[in-house]
Amino acid sequence: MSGRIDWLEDHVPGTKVMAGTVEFSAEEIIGFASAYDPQYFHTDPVAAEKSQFGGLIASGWHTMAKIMKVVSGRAVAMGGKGFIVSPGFEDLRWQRPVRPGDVLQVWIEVIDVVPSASKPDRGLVIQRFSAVNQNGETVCSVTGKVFFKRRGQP
Amino acid sequence: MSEILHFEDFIVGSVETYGEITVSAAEIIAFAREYDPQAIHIDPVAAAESPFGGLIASGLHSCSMMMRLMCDGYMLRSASMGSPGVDEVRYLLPVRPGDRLRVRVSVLDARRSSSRPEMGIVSARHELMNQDDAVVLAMTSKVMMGCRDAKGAA
Repeated sequence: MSGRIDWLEDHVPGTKVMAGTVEFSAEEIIGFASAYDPQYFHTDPVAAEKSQFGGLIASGWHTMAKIMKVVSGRAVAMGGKGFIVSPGFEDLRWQRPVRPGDVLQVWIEVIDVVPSASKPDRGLVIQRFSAVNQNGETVCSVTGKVFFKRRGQP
Repeated sequence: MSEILHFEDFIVGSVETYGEITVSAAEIIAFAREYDPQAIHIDPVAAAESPFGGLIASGLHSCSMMMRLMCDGYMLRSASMGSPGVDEVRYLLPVRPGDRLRVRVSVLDARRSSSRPEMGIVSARHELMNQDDAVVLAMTSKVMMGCRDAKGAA
Protein backbone atom coordinates (compact mmCIF):
# COMPACT_ATOMS: atom_id res chain seq x y z
CA MET A 1 0.00 0.00 0.00
CA SER A 2 1.82 3.06 -1.25
CA GLY A 3 -0.84 5.38 0.15
CA ARG A 4 -0.98 7.29 -3.11
CA ILE A 5 -4.19 8.03 -5.00
CA ASP A 6 -3.21 8.64 -8.60
CA TRP A 7 -5.43 6.52 -10.82
CA LEU A 8 -8.98 5.26 -11.15
CA GLU A 9 -7.94 1.89 -9.71
CA ASP A 10 -6.63 3.56 -6.53
CA HIS A 11 -10.22 4.31 -5.46
CA VAL A 12 -11.81 1.37 -3.65
CA PRO A 13 -15.60 1.35 -3.16
CA GLY A 14 -16.56 1.04 0.50
CA THR A 15 -13.45 2.84 1.74
CA LYS A 16 -14.30 5.58 4.25
CA VAL A 17 -11.77 7.94 5.83
CA MET A 18 -11.80 11.01 8.05
CA ALA A 19 -9.76 13.26 5.79
CA GLY A 20 -9.31 16.33 7.96
CA THR A 21 -10.99 19.00 10.06
CA VAL A 22 -12.00 22.58 9.35
CA GLU A 23 -12.87 25.34 11.81
CA PHE A 24 -15.19 28.30 11.29
CA SER A 25 -14.57 31.74 12.79
CA ALA A 26 -17.11 34.56 12.73
CA GLU A 27 -14.62 36.66 10.75
CA GLU A 28 -14.24 34.03 8.04
CA ILE A 29 -18.01 33.36 7.88
CA ILE A 30 -18.65 37.09 7.38
CA GLY A 31 -15.75 37.45 4.93
CA PHE A 32 -16.89 34.64 2.64
CA ALA A 33 -20.51 35.72 2.77
CA SER A 34 -19.69 39.37 2.09
CA ALA A 35 -18.07 38.27 -1.17
CA TYR A 36 -20.46 35.55 -2.32
CA ASP A 37 -23.64 35.24 -0.24
CA PRO A 38 -24.45 38.50 1.58
CA GLN A 39 -27.74 37.40 3.18
CA TYR A 40 -27.99 39.08 6.58
CA PHE A 41 -27.91 35.85 8.61
CA HIS A 42 -24.42 35.23 7.14
CA THR A 43 -23.03 38.78 7.48
CA ASP A 44 -24.72 40.59 10.40
CA PRO A 45 -24.39 38.89 13.83
CA VAL A 46 -26.90 41.24 15.49
CA ALA A 47 -29.61 40.95 12.85
CA ALA A 48 -28.95 37.18 12.63
CA GLU A 49 -30.03 36.76 16.25
CA LYS A 50 -33.56 37.71 15.22
CA SER A 51 -33.60 35.29 12.26
CA GLN A 52 -35.01 31.77 12.46
CA PHE A 53 -31.41 30.59 12.97
CA GLY A 54 -30.96 32.53 16.23
CA GLY A 55 -27.49 33.76 15.32
CA LEU A 56 -24.83 34.01 12.65
CA ILE A 57 -24.51 30.93 10.42
CA ALA A 58 -22.09 30.10 7.61
CA SER A 59 -23.20 30.31 3.99
CA GLY A 60 -23.92 26.82 2.68
CA TRP A 61 -21.44 27.54 -0.11
CA HIS A 62 -18.79 28.41 2.49
CA THR A 63 -19.37 25.05 4.20
CA MET A 64 -19.15 23.35 0.81
CA ALA A 65 -15.93 25.22 -0.03
CA LYS A 66 -14.35 24.19 3.29
CA ILE A 67 -15.28 20.55 2.61
CA MET A 68 -13.67 20.92 -0.81
CA LYS A 69 -10.57 22.42 0.83
CA VAL A 70 -10.04 19.12 2.67
CA VAL A 71 -11.02 16.92 -0.28
CA SER A 72 -8.97 18.82 -2.86
CA GLY A 73 -6.01 19.33 -0.54
CA ARG A 74 -5.91 15.59 0.20
CA ALA A 75 -6.17 14.75 -3.49
CA VAL A 76 -3.18 16.98 -4.26
CA ALA A 77 -1.16 15.65 -1.31
CA MET A 78 -1.77 11.99 -2.18
CA GLY A 79 -0.95 12.21 -5.88
CA GLY A 80 -3.71 12.92 -8.33
CA LYS A 81 -1.64 12.21 -11.47
CA GLY A 82 -4.68 10.75 -13.22
CA PHE A 83 -7.11 13.50 -12.15
CA ILE A 84 -9.00 14.81 -15.19
CA VAL A 85 -11.98 16.94 -14.15
CA SER A 86 -15.19 16.94 -12.12
CA PRO A 87 -18.42 16.95 -14.13
CA GLY A 88 -20.33 18.19 -11.07
CA PHE A 89 -22.03 16.97 -7.92
CA GLU A 90 -25.43 15.76 -6.72
CA ASP A 91 -27.66 15.63 -3.67
CA LEU A 92 -26.02 18.45 -1.69
CA ARG A 93 -27.80 18.71 1.65
CA TRP A 94 -27.40 21.50 4.17
CA GLN A 95 -28.73 19.56 7.14
CA ARG A 96 -27.85 21.81 10.08
CA PRO A 97 -26.51 25.33 10.54
CA VAL A 98 -22.75 25.85 10.91
CA ARG A 99 -21.91 28.47 13.53
CA PRO A 100 -18.79 30.38 14.62
CA GLY A 101 -16.47 28.10 16.62
CA ASP A 102 -17.77 24.91 15.00
CA VAL A 103 -15.14 22.34 14.08
CA LEU A 104 -16.15 19.93 11.33
CA GLN A 105 -14.67 16.54 10.53
CA VAL A 106 -14.71 15.89 6.79
CA TRP A 107 -15.37 12.26 5.83
CA ILE A 108 -14.85 10.79 2.38
CA GLU A 109 -16.55 7.55 1.37
CA VAL A 110 -15.93 5.94 -2.03
CA ILE A 111 -19.38 4.92 -3.27
CA ASP A 112 -18.62 3.60 -6.73
CA VAL A 113 -15.97 3.46 -9.47
CA VAL A 114 -17.45 3.32 -12.97
CA PRO A 115 -15.22 2.68 -16.02
CA SER A 116 -16.28 4.85 -18.96
CA ALA A 117 -18.12 2.97 -21.69
CA SER A 118 -17.14 5.46 -24.40
CA LYS A 119 -13.59 6.38 -23.31
CA PRO A 120 -11.57 3.31 -22.25
CA ASP A 121 -8.72 5.41 -20.79
CA ARG A 122 -10.82 6.73 -17.88
CA GLY A 123 -13.66 6.28 -15.43
CA LEU A 124 -15.83 8.11 -12.93
CA VAL A 125 -15.22 8.06 -9.17
CA ILE A 126 -18.36 8.70 -7.11
CA GLN A 127 -17.77 9.74 -3.50
CA ARG A 128 -19.95 10.93 -0.63
CA PHE A 129 -18.45 13.76 1.40
CA SER A 130 -19.89 14.44 4.87
CA ALA A 131 -19.11 17.14 7.42
CA VAL A 132 -19.75 16.23 11.08
CA ASN A 133 -19.63 18.82 13.85
CA GLN A 134 -18.16 18.59 17.35
CA ASN A 135 -21.49 17.20 18.64
CA GLY A 136 -21.45 14.33 16.17
CA GLU A 137 -24.16 15.87 13.99
CA THR A 138 -23.87 15.72 10.20
CA VAL A 139 -24.24 19.32 9.00
CA CYS A 140 -23.64 18.91 5.28
CA SER A 141 -23.22 16.08 2.80
CA VAL A 142 -22.81 15.85 -0.96
CA THR A 143 -22.10 13.28 -3.66
CA GLY A 144 -19.08 14.38 -5.69
CA LYS A 145 -18.06 13.03 -9.07
CA VAL A 146 -14.62 13.14 -10.66
CA PHE A 147 -13.07 11.57 -13.76
CA PHE A 148 -9.75 9.77 -13.31
CA LYS A 149 -7.50 8.12 -15.88
CA ARG A 150 -6.88 4.40 -15.58
CA ARG A 151 -3.47 3.26 -14.42
CA GLY A 152 -0.84 3.40 -17.13
CA GLN A 153 -2.58 6.06 -19.23
CA PRO A 154 -0.48 9.06 -20.30
CA MET B 1 -39.05 48.21 -7.05
CA SER B 2 -38.77 47.96 -3.27
CA GLU B 3 -41.41 45.24 -3.03
CA ILE B 4 -40.15 42.14 -1.20
CA LEU B 5 -40.52 38.95 -3.24
CA HIS B 6 -42.54 36.25 -1.50
CA PHE B 7 -43.45 32.66 -2.30
CA GLU B 8 -46.49 33.86 -4.25
CA ASP B 9 -44.25 35.82 -6.66
CA PHE B 10 -42.40 32.73 -7.93
CA ILE B 11 -44.52 31.60 -10.87
CA VAL B 12 -43.84 28.17 -12.36
CA GLY B 13 -42.50 28.65 -15.88
CA SER B 14 -41.17 32.17 -15.33
CA VAL B 15 -37.62 32.93 -16.51
CA GLU B 16 -35.46 35.88 -15.42
CA THR B 17 -31.82 36.78 -16.12
CA TYR B 18 -29.64 38.76 -13.69
CA GLY B 19 -26.09 40.10 -13.70
CA GLU B 20 -23.31 40.55 -14.79
CA ILE B 21 -19.94 40.11 -13.08
CA THR B 22 -16.48 39.84 -14.62
CA VAL B 23 -14.12 37.08 -13.50
CA SER B 24 -10.49 37.99 -12.80
CA ALA B 25 -7.42 35.73 -12.77
CA ALA B 26 -6.48 37.11 -9.35
CA GLU B 27 -9.83 36.07 -7.86
CA ILE B 28 -9.70 32.61 -9.48
CA ILE B 29 -6.26 32.02 -7.96
CA ALA B 30 -7.13 33.49 -4.54
CA PHE B 31 -10.30 31.38 -4.17
CA ALA B 32 -8.57 28.20 -5.30
CA ARG B 33 -5.50 28.70 -3.11
CA GLU B 34 -7.84 28.73 -0.13
CA TYR B 35 -10.38 26.07 -1.12
CA ASP B 36 -9.37 24.02 -4.19
CA PRO B 37 -5.60 24.10 -4.81
CA GLN B 38 -5.43 22.14 -8.07
CA ALA B 39 -2.79 23.34 -10.58
CA ILE B 40 -5.43 24.19 -13.22
CA HIS B 41 -6.92 26.75 -10.78
CA ILE B 42 -3.78 28.29 -9.23
CA ASP B 43 -0.84 27.91 -11.65
CA PRO B 44 -1.23 29.74 -15.00
CA VAL B 45 1.89 28.07 -16.45
CA ALA B 46 0.86 24.50 -15.56
CA ALA B 47 -2.73 25.28 -16.59
CA ALA B 48 -1.52 26.43 -20.03
CA GLU B 49 -0.01 22.97 -20.59
CA SER B 50 -3.18 21.18 -19.39
CA PRO B 51 -6.02 20.07 -21.69
CA PHE B 52 -7.84 23.28 -20.66
CA GLY B 53 -5.11 25.43 -22.23
CA GLY B 54 -5.13 27.96 -19.42
CA LEU B 55 -6.34 28.91 -15.98
CA ILE B 56 -9.95 27.94 -15.15
CA ALA B 57 -12.06 28.73 -12.09
CA SER B 58 -12.70 26.09 -9.43
CA GLY B 59 -16.21 24.70 -9.83
CA LEU B 60 -16.98 25.77 -6.26
CA HIS B 61 -15.82 29.28 -7.14
CA SER B 62 -18.27 29.30 -10.07
CA CYS B 63 -21.04 28.11 -7.73
CA SER B 64 -20.12 30.89 -5.29
CA MET B 65 -20.09 33.56 -8.00
CA MET B 66 -23.50 32.32 -9.17
CA MET B 67 -24.78 32.60 -5.60
CA ARG B 68 -23.63 36.24 -5.58
CA LEU B 69 -25.52 36.87 -8.83
CA MET B 70 -28.59 35.19 -7.31
CA CYS B 71 -28.31 37.32 -4.16
CA ASP B 72 -27.97 40.59 -6.06
CA GLY B 73 -30.59 39.54 -8.62
CA TYR B 74 -33.46 38.49 -6.36
CA MET B 75 -32.49 36.75 -3.12
CA LEU B 76 -31.63 39.85 -1.08
CA ARG B 77 -35.02 41.42 -1.87
CA SER B 78 -36.92 38.23 -1.11
CA ALA B 79 -38.40 36.53 1.95
CA SER B 80 -35.85 33.69 1.59
CA MET B 81 -35.57 31.46 4.66
CA GLY B 82 -32.55 29.53 3.42
CA SER B 83 -32.07 26.42 1.32
CA PRO B 84 -32.28 22.75 2.27
CA GLY B 85 -29.92 21.85 -0.55
CA VAL B 86 -29.09 21.35 -4.20
CA ASP B 87 -30.33 18.47 -6.35
CA GLU B 88 -27.58 18.69 -8.94
CA VAL B 89 -24.78 20.89 -10.27
CA ARG B 90 -23.24 20.22 -13.68
CA TYR B 91 -20.01 21.86 -14.79
CA LEU B 92 -20.54 22.19 -18.53
CA LEU B 93 -17.80 24.57 -19.74
CA PRO B 94 -14.69 26.13 -18.18
CA VAL B 95 -14.91 29.59 -16.60
CA ARG B 96 -11.85 31.65 -17.55
CA PRO B 97 -10.35 35.02 -16.58
CA GLY B 98 -12.21 37.85 -18.30
CA ASP B 99 -15.46 35.91 -18.64
CA ARG B 100 -18.59 37.99 -17.99
CA LEU B 101 -21.21 35.93 -16.17
CA ARG B 102 -24.98 36.21 -15.73
CA VAL B 103 -27.51 33.86 -14.15
CA ARG B 104 -30.76 32.70 -15.77
CA VAL B 105 -33.37 31.50 -13.29
CA SER B 106 -36.27 29.25 -14.38
CA VAL B 107 -38.91 28.41 -11.78
CA LEU B 108 -39.65 24.67 -12.04
CA ASP B 109 -42.01 24.12 -9.12
CA ALA B 110 -43.56 26.01 -6.21
CA ARG B 111 -45.30 24.16 -3.40
CA ARG B 112 -46.78 25.58 -0.25
CA SER B 113 -45.59 23.72 2.85
CA SER B 114 -48.39 21.69 4.47
CA SER B 115 -46.66 21.59 7.86
CA ARG B 116 -45.44 25.22 7.88
CA PRO B 117 -48.10 27.50 6.33
CA GLU B 118 -45.81 30.54 6.60
CA MET B 119 -43.54 29.21 3.83
CA GLY B 120 -43.30 27.34 0.57
CA ILE B 121 -40.57 25.50 -1.33
CA VAL B 122 -39.48 26.95 -4.68
CA SER B 123 -37.50 24.68 -7.04
CA ALA B 124 -35.54 26.44 -9.74
CA ARG B 125 -33.00 25.75 -12.44
CA HIS B 126 -30.11 28.21 -12.35
CA GLU B 127 -27.90 28.52 -15.41
CA LEU B 128 -24.64 30.45 -15.24
CA MET B 129 -24.04 31.95 -18.69
CA ASN B 130 -20.96 33.59 -20.17
CA GLN B 131 -20.57 36.49 -22.62
CA ASP B 132 -21.26 34.12 -25.54
CA ASP B 133 -24.61 33.07 -23.99
CA ALA B 134 -23.14 29.60 -23.40
CA VAL B 135 -24.29 27.84 -20.23
CA VAL B 136 -21.15 27.07 -18.21
CA LEU B 137 -22.87 25.64 -15.11
CA ALA B 138 -26.40 24.37 -14.46
CA MET B 139 -27.87 23.88 -11.00
CA THR B 140 -31.25 22.60 -9.81
CA SER B 141 -31.94 23.64 -6.23
CA LYS B 142 -34.63 24.47 -3.69
CA VAL B 143 -35.22 27.48 -1.48
CA MET B 144 -37.64 28.00 1.41
CA MET B 145 -39.55 31.20 0.72
CA GLY B 146 -41.79 33.06 3.14
CA CYS B 147 -45.43 33.58 2.09
CA ARG B 148 -47.03 37.01 1.79
CA ASP B 149 -50.26 35.51 3.02
CA ALA B 150 -48.91 33.44 5.90
CA LYS B 151 -52.27 32.11 7.05
CA GLY B 152 -54.30 30.95 4.09
CA ALA B 153 -53.31 28.29 1.60
CA ALA B 154 -52.51 29.64 -1.86
